[in-house]
Amino acid sequence: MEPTRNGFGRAIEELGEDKRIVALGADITSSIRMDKFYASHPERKNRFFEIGIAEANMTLVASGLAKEGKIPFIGSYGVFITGRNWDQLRTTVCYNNYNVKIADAHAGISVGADGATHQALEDISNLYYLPNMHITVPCDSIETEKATKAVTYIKGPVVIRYAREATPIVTTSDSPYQFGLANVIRYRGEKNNFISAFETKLSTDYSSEKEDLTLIACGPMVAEAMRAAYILKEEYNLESRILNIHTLKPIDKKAIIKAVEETNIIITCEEHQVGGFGNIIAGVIAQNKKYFTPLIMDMIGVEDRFGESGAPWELTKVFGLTAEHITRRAKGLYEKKNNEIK
Amino acid sequence: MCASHYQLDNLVVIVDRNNLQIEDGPTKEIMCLEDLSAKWKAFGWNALEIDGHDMSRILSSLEEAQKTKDKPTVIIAHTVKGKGVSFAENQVGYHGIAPKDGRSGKESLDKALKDIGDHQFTKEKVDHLLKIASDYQSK
Repeated sequence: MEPTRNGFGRAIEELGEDKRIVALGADITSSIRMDKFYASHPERKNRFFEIGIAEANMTLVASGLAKEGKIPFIGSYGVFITGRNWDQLRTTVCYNNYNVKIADAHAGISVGADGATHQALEDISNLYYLPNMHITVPCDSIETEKATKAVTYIKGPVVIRYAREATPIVTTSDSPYQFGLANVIRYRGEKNNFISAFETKLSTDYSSEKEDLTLIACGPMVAEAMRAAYILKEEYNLESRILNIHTLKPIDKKAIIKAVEETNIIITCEEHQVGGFGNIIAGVIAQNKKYFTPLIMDMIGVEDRFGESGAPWELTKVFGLTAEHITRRAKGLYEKKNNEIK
Repeated sequence: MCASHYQLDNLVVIVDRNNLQIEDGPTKEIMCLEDLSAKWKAFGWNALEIDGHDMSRILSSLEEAQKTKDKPTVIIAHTVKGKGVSFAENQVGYHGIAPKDGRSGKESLDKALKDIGDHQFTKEKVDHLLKIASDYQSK
């Protein structure tokens, strides 16, 4: 288990070697690991700018730096860095396609004790429809490190959504990763450690195994989907395909459509207001599937309510985001399909 | 600007001026705020500066605010974050966290209560309150 923010920290420390990269802070740097940029590298302090608790200004300062050829990283808790400065993200960053990289930290319910005001549950929806914006929601600390490095050198603004609390590590440095392509994860049978029980492939390298259903997840929900796949197989003998949509925009449409065509039952899983991610998937499916392809769908997420203060893993249970919840809904859809077919 | 434009003399703002930010240091290093009183006056407010730990001054400044007509009042209350707790006073690092040593020790609940010196917090009372908290958790 490791917080995904540590993956960001490792990446920004390494990326700091490139003199084009600058970092900005809104009095929140260590808890989002932006301080790794300069903590062990005092010579980089002149490439870090403290703006104070002023996210709109930070976004504009970063835009100016981007205009002059720098690669600026801004960051704060998701609620602030995608909310307070939304007009600046839209009209200055995105409209001008500035190369600003946005650390959307402390996203999701696992923020824990700080409660509803600090739990970003609407940020995917708030950012997805901005033209020129890219979005990545990596599943664990290792993937967060890979994703952060990958998005630094693509042209244009990017949001990296990561979390506060420690979440399971479900990939390794050898796991396939390509910005823009989903990963397909399959449970292969019980092993001594969790990761080795699964096989991960790039979506373009994967051929259908005629699974019973597909779980489409992003961020820490990928680990929960993997646990659900394990329960579904071991207790109900149901085979699940898991799609890890670490790149939300641009989204891997082909992988999603193949999952629909090949398994017909889709459950989306997000640590976010339900539908923020799920409706994007549904839209891709609805617009691209064949006329005669059967489909039933369900979505796991926060059910149109604000977060709450509590221990992160308790909140995950209270808000219905655990593997057990996913399993129950997946099994429900599978039974629904069988009943209707009869 | 809005409050003074609309002459909201029934509005009082209290600024808890503890001079500290959340993570990275004192406000004057992160983003300097001075001259705070002059800034509020420039926006048309009546600005008072008081010792934020002096209850009678807090009350009298609220009375002054009530008597002030046609402009809103800001009370800039100079405070010390963590005042009265020896290990936490003025410490940026003690934002939003519990005493580092828990119930007892150098930076602990017991030391904090001893520093504050409120006699109602006997060992039995503290035990009782902590039990209420942990019972709630287990529910």
